[in-house]
This record gives sequence, structure tokens and C-alpha cells, in this order.
Amino acid sequence: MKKTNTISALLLFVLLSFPLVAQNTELPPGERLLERLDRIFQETSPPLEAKLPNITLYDAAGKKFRLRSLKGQYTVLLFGCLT
Amino acid sequence: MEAIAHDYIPRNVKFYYIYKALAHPELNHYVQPVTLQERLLHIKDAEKRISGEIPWLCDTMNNDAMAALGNAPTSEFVIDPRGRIVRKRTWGDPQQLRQDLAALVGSIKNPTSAQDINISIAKPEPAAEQGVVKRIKVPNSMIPLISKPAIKANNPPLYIKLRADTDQALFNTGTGQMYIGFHLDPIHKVHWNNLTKPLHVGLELPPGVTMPSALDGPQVSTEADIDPREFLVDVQGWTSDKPIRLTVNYFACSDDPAFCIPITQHYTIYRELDRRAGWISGRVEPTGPFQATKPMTISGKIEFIDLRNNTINLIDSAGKQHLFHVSEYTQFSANSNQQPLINLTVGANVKIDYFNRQSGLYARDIQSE
Repeated sequence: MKKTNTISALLLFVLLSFPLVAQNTELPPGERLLERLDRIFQETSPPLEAKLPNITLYDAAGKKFRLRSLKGQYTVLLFGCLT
Repeated sequence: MEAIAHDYIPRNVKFYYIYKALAHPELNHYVQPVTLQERLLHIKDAEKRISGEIPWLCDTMNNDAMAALGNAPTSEFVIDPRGRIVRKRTWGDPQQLRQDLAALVGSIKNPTSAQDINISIAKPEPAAEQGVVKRIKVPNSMIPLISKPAIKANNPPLYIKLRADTDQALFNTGTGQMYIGFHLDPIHKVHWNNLTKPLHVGLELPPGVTMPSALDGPQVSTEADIDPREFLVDVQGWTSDKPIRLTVNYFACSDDPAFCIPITQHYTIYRELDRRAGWISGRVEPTGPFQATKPMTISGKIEFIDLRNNTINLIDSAGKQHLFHVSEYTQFSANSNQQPLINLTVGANVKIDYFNRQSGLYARDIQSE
């Protein structure tokens, strides 16, 4: 049960964030959307070795947080949401 | 990801999730937050539900970080100590990330597995019964419209959120079907009170538009529920860019703390694709280009291209500058050959077919000579 819950938690966060259009058989092939998202990502994300964009976000308490303050150690950033 | 963080946080690697717009609203009843405070409540909920070690950051309500970092829903980046991006991928990949960190920071002798860490998943508790009011069936391919609520500082929270979608016929020709759905926001933990008058909607229509000017929710025998109140209406003649204004009256009720208050909310609905609305699971992705109005044409020289913000600048023959939004639906051709938009260059002489919308100019077709 614990194992199932753990796997579910990870899947909830990572997998459910993907567009799920491919579940419907009447849809155009799922690859089309995924490929398009991948292309947009490759075209519009900063290249490797680029600095992080100069953007101010918020921490979980709502305090301002500058992305460029992430220096001095390795940092992993992962986008996600509840659904 | 949590297992990797568990191994590498002691090795001085920082991890952050960045919370952005929902990819799939309606899953577990979640709906798009409309204020930063509401998005921060989502994060609190996520912290509770995924009780891991990784802290959350919150993107701006314009999703600036997501836009600047490639617009993918679960992209992943590794930043080095100089603050530079050294790894990036469209989809988070824990296996690949572990290999990256092994190469950059050092490998872990006995890596933690997902099973080793105690992550529990708590389902959101519904505020009342669900499955009481039958969901309506909508055409499979619907286009989400931009709808903006009127927000005032001292007003109560937006306990319900509007989702307005059109079928492609309505979007492209002004005549077709429109979905109007009011979804209780689980973040605010309220339910409908079916002992009072049902939800009432008043619509203020632009000239020439034919559709019902009032809608009423169903009479429900169960005392309270949390099901959405939905309508599928026929619309004719919405050919202009003028928006529909909507006022909704309902009672928002909570058991803990106990309250039941009458609420009035105002929305403005634009006949314009909302690219951040998220896709409802199981629905078909609509195909573009979206021709809500007849495009206009302008010629000139490309002065500036900002693919990160999806905009281009054009100078016309009179020296006037025009800013255009571009997207994956913008077609580009050079010498009559279809090309990826990335091939558009500064200095090119072009003709642009575009839509003039409330939120700016949107390039539909760019032809380079």
C-alpha cells in the first residue's frame, strides 16, 4: 500500500501535468502535441550556458524571490502544479 | 524527484518546484487560481498533499518564468554555481537527472529509491456531496476563452470560477455553441446551498449577438453539493471583438467555519483563445489557426524578434512601429515556402495578416518576400 501511494504521489506530480489528449482515441496522435511542446521548448528556452532569466517569483510564503539569486551551488528547478 | 533530493540536498544541491498555471483544471475539482494569494493556497495544498523535502516557488500570475523558460508544463533545469543553465529538458526525467547530478556533483553509493521515502498522498476532502448534478456533455473539441473576473480588494474571494469555452464554429464564425461552467474552487472549501435560490446568471450581450440573456442553475433536492453548474447555449452573431459581460449570483456556504452568504461576481468574456486555461482531460485539442475575426494586413520590415516573449516588432513604410504576438499557430512562409517561424529574420520585408484583439495584435500569417 505504501509503495502504491509513493508511486501515485510521484505520478500525480509529474505525469498528470502532461496534456492527456492522447487518452481519447478520436484524437490526433498524441505525439503531435508533445512534439509541438518540445519544439516550442527548444526554440524559446534559454540555451545551455545562459544565465537564468532576470525574473522575480515568490516563495511559498509570498515573499519575492529572484531567480538569479540561485548561485553558489547546483540547483534543480522543476515546473509543476497540482493537476 | 523527492528521492533524488533526499540524496543530494546533503551534498549542497538545492531543489525547487516552480508552481505555474494548472495544466488540467477540473482534476480533483481544482480550478485555475486568479490571484497570487489563491496560487499560494494551491502551493500550501500541494505541500500538504506531497509531503516532501523540496520547497515550492510560485510563478507570477503572468507565468513569466514559464514563458521565459520554454513554456513546457513539467520542464526541468539544472543550474550550476555560476547561475548558468547546464542541463535542460522539456519533461522532468528523474533517471536522467540522477545521471546529471552524478556527473556534476558526484554519484551516490546507495541511492534512495522512491519506495524508500515516505511520501503520502492525501486526496482533497470534498466540502459536500459530489455526483448530485449530472455533468453536461460538451462537444469534444472546445476552445477556452479568456474570461476576466472583476476583482476588488475588499470583496469576498471568488468562491466559484467561470470557465467559458466555445466550439470551433462559434470561435471562427460567431455562430455555434458556448459552454459556461461555474466551478466551486476547492481551495475555498465551500459548497452550494440548495435550500436557497439556485445560481442565477445575467448576460449583457454585444449588439447583434443572440443567446439567452439569463440562465438559472437547476433545482437540486440534496441540501448541499459541490458539482459544477454548467450550461451549453447556442450563440449567434458574435462576430465582433466586443466581449460578453456576465453577472452571477449564488450563495457560498461553508460548514467549518459556518457561513452562508449571498455573492455576486462579474466576469468579462472575450472571444479570444486563453492559452493558459489548460486542457480538460479527455477533450480533443482544438486545431488552429483560430479565425475569430477577419484578419487585417500590414506590410513592413521586421525590426525586432523576441521569441522568448513570443512577440515581433514591425516598422511600416511610415516609420510606425507595431508589436505583434506570435504563437505556434502563426504561419510563416518565405518565397511561398512554408517555414518554421524560427527562420524569420530581423530586417526581412514581410506582409502580416493579423487579428486586432482586446489584448493586442496577433499575427496569423507572415509572408516574407
